[in-house]
Amino acid sequence: MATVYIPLNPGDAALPTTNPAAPVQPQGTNFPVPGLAYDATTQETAYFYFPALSYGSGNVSVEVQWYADTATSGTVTFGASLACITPNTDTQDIETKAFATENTATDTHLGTTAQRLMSFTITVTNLDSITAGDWVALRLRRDMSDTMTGDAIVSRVIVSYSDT
Amino acid sequence: MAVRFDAVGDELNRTANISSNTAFTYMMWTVLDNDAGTSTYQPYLFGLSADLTQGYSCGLLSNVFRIEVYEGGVAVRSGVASGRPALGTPACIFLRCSGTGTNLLTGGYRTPSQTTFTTAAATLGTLSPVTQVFYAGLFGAFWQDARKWNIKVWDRALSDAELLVESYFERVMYPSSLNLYLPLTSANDTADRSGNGRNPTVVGTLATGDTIANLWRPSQKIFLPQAGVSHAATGALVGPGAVVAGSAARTRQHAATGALTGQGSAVSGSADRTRQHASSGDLVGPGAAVSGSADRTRQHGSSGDLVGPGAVIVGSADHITPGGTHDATGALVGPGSSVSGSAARSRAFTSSGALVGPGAVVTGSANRAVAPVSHDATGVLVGPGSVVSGVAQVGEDQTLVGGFLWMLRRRKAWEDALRNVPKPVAEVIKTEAPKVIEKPKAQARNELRKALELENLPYRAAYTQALERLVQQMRQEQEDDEEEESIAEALALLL
Repeated sequence: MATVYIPLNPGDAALPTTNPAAPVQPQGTNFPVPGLAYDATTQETAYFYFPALSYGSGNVSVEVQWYADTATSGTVTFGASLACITPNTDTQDIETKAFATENTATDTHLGTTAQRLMSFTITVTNLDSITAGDWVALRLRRDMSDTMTGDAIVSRVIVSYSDT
Repeated sequence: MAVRFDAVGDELNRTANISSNTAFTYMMWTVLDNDAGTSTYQPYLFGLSADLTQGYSCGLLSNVFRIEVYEGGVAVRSGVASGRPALGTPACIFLRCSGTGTNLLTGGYRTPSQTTFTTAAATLGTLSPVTQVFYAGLFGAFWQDARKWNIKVWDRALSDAELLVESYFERVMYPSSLNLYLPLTSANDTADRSGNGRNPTVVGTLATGDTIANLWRPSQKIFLPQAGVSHAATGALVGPGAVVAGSAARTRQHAATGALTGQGSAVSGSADRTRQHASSGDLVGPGAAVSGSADRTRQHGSSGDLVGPGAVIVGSADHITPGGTHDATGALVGPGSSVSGSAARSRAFTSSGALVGPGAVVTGSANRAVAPVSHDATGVLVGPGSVVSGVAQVGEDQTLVGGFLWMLRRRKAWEDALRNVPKPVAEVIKTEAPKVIEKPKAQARNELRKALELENLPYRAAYTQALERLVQQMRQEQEDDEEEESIAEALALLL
């Protein structure tokens, strides 16, 4: 049994025309830091696409690596949803395909430094009948029920699943 | 990379499929290489009507970014932004129109250190259609000296959110109403990549320059199976006839029914099963050759031989299961195989197989050792016809398996048969004897001669005589074994 990891960077994102997670790239002291900034008061969204290569079984884990723009406390809640299509098998129109029910997870700012990098994992249990080789769309959006003020900036998303 | 427009005669323009006067967005990344001064208007791009008297532009004047609207050949309206991109600083420039009303012509710039655009606004008014757009070219008497790349043009006004996103990404993120996409990655790459086939006109001699601003691209995907997991393999690790220059190791827990190394394969390094596994296959398949060691070092339930029939192990072949037990029904060293190192079962086990199978040759020791662990072995320590040059012993506190003494006697008989024969020749004779036991003398002699030639050893008539003595000894042993077997069967019937 092995685990398949798929890292997704900000440059991989597809962004909607309305309320996209805003691209940001502060120059930093030593290097630029690309990210997708999710607003605290307007629900913003980003999409990622990947093939479900070697998917075996079980839930899909979506690890969100993030940091706060300004806050040093509070919670952030993100939701992940999957839309899976099996080429040649599914008759679903790809342009009207809907997402499965969203799964959410909450993280708490660890404090000390506002822009420290933190991570948490969303366990996606609503798998939309994912099978190996599927075309998969992942929607990642911030839930407005969380308490942290200011932007939550996502620097990387890592999707993982078992190959057996 | 970018295209350098070096001020003298370099031009990039389109005269067809121009966006309408009421709905357009232009965007480009650019860096100014020379500044003509505060009193000279330095446009980044401009669009003009056929008679060159009406149009629009965005550029630099009086050290600020501005947008201008032209009627009658002069600028009649303008909008001014706060500040400008500095000389040598890359910036994303845009010019957008969503109608002709007030402030519906907007423009702006964003340097990499900015998170939003700095903007200016003006009224476009009603103009004659723009029929030519210059992304670089002569404006009045001025040629701009700048590098430009990633020019995107739409036949609509993008929203502020769309503008910001497009300014970060190299690719077109919102292709709706896309008119033109010029990556301008080099002087040789001025083609339109929008799919519309609207290649611009190039005038002058363009050069390639650096971009110094990284736009976002999709990353390389990496699929990382995690180490430390088990696998279910039914096939050989090394297939029949394969050659592995390095080691062939199953180092993870697995359920394998295949041999570690298949028949006839050759492994120059070690062939190890170093993890708990349930295997019914040989560790080293029949006829395989392993230059290093062939070890089962972990607890396992195996029904296969450690070394299959006819295999050659230059190193050791051990069941050394530290701290664990194993149930092996197979021989440690299969019939006819050769182990130059030791062949040891050094842990507690229950085995019904011979330690050294019939006809096998073990140059080192063949031990069932390591007291105080016990074992119940129903198989002989050294099988019929096999040769152990080193010590063949059962360790302390063991009950000798019946037949051990006759094994020692048989070994003595072999040594007598091969008396006065040089050791290298004796080894060849021991190998050949089982093969010619049923063959006529003349054929046996010829085969011995060939075997000696292969080993670069001389042939002597005395060697044939030694072969005949050993063959005779082996035949006698076979007869004895058959007789014992008959007696055992008869006794079994009686009992």
